[in-house]
Amino acid sequence: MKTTLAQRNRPSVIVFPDGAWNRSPFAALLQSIAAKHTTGWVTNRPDRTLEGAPAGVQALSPADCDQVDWSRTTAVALHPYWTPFLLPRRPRLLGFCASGSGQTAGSDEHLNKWRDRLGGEASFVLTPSESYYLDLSFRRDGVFVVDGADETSDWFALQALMWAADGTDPLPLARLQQQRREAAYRERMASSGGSAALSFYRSVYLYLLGDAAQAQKELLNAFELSVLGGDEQALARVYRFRSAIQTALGLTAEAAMTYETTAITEQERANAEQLRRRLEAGQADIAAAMLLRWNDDHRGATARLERMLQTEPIEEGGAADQESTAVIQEMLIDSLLQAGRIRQANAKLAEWPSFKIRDRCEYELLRGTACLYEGRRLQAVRAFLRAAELRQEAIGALSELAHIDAATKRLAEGESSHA
Amino acid sequence: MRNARKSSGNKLTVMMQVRNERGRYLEAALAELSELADEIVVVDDASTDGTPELCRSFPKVVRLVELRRPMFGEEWKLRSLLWETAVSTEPDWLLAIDADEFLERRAGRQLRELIDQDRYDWVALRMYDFWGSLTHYRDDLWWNLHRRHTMMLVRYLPGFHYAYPRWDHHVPRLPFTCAALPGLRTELRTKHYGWAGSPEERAAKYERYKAMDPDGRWGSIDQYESILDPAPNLVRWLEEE
Repeated sequence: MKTTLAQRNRPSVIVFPDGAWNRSPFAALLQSIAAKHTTGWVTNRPDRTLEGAPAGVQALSPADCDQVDWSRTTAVALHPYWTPFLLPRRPRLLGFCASGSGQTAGSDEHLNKWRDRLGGEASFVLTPSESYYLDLSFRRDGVFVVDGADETSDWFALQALMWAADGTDPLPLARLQQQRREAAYRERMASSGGSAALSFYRSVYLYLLGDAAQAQKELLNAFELSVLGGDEQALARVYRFRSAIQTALGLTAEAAMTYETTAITEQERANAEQLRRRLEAGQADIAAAMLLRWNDDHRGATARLERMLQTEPIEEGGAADQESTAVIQEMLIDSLLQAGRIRQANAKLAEWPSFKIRDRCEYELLRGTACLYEGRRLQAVRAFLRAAELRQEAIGALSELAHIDAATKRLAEGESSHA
Repeated sequence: MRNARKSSGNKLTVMMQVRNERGRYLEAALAELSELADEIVVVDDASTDGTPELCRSFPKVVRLVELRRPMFGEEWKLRSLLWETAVSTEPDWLLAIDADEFLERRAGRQLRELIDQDRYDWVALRMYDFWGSLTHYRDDLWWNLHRRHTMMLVRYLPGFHYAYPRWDHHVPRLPFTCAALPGLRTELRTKHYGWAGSPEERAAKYERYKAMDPDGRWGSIDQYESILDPAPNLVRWLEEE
């Protein structure tokens, strides 16, 4: 028999589930939290969803969430469809435990988009998938993986949750976990004799840790092994990453040359041409940001572009200055969106009155989503309607909202988010 | 900042490693290559028969490295040295060819067309091993290199990671990492005259291979033995104009 809201202590952690406790891939981790903290579980059907849960786990209905002091509570979402429900409440910390790999196929067309969105807006993200973990690590800080590959690495992930439950931002632990994972790859290479994949992964970790010189050495090793192994995609999948590393080393011209070497498609060749033009115009910093973006390093690109805007005189100077400012702003907005940081992108656009909106419809959708995150549902709906007036397909944002409302209700009933 | 790939006006440098080639095919090879290439780079692996002097007589030989001690026992070092020397001429393309190899006339004529484009970075041809004469090539289980493609021509992309495998023998003529770049496999042919000499010359090569690689670590023992085959399958060469 579970306790009722009136009987229980104030929970310091509230979990927004993706189904029943005993089917959650994160049950073991959550159990560790529940052993130490009063833990809430959002559901209308505790009988259905809390079977097998520790006794200290308390059921809360979605309506109960209105009574929670979120400034003193950490939220842990196990499903991205809780995003519009959760973000307006502004929990002190919001963790997103994302199960499975980043991209899922299947019947729910909106799921990946909302996974990316919550993945960008949460205070930290934890996932069992290393590929999703690395993908996210190139978009944001505070990402953790718990994949069972290394005991110490998993321990850091658990600690991240424990810190968050205590109300402490686990961000510093992310770097420690990356260091541990890099060391684990080094150890595996030493014991197994190495492989292209091990070298490549180690190179990626070294890059994330800021050791670009070692990252380059390891990447070239990975490239050689890939070619010897007959990998026909080695140029794009392995070698191109060298251009990001060289950018991090401050060798932008060399990085541009590396990118050009790997440029095969018409789009890539046009990109290479653009890099050349920027370098010839003395805009190495813009070229560097482009290189990071084309290597999917939106985290690095965002930081660089933010710095550039702090030093670039906005709306001053000649046409060339204005053009470069516009390019920087455009890249920054896009990288923020690629990272799922809609609120920040929206705030930037509000700061820049002269920013030329290329696609008014997309802009209205962005504003609407940001309103939704702030709990201003009516304004969100109005923005979506304005978008639909500009482009008929945008009406989908309204049906998507209804879809998510229904999915959230199902999740609270302990059912799948799918209809 | 220059384009990595030029579609016209490409400079072609030939790279060749030689050892005691005087009196064989070297003079003819250099004469032919002087017609085709802009520059020629040679590394001489400690010849004792005046090969360097012969090389120097060709004005297109712009770099000649003369080794005092042979490096053939560590072939990857020799190949790397040749590569480094060749790229020091700032080429756009490199043709890696041996002193006993000849492009068929058709290939020679198409060479500029092959390199003056910006879509692919290497070209592979078919290599035919001539056997006992300059009229027939060998085609059997052990001698069928012509059924595959051999990369001979590569674009030089400054800054690209070029690497040779650290093997003592049978090292590919060009950095293996070139294979990751986009390339073109053509039906153009190259004639290899290394086995076209007398039975005595082939027997001497057989002895050399056996001494160098007695356990077949770098090559196939069966292929070494097939050198002595008294009746190999030979096919008449037809030059395509």
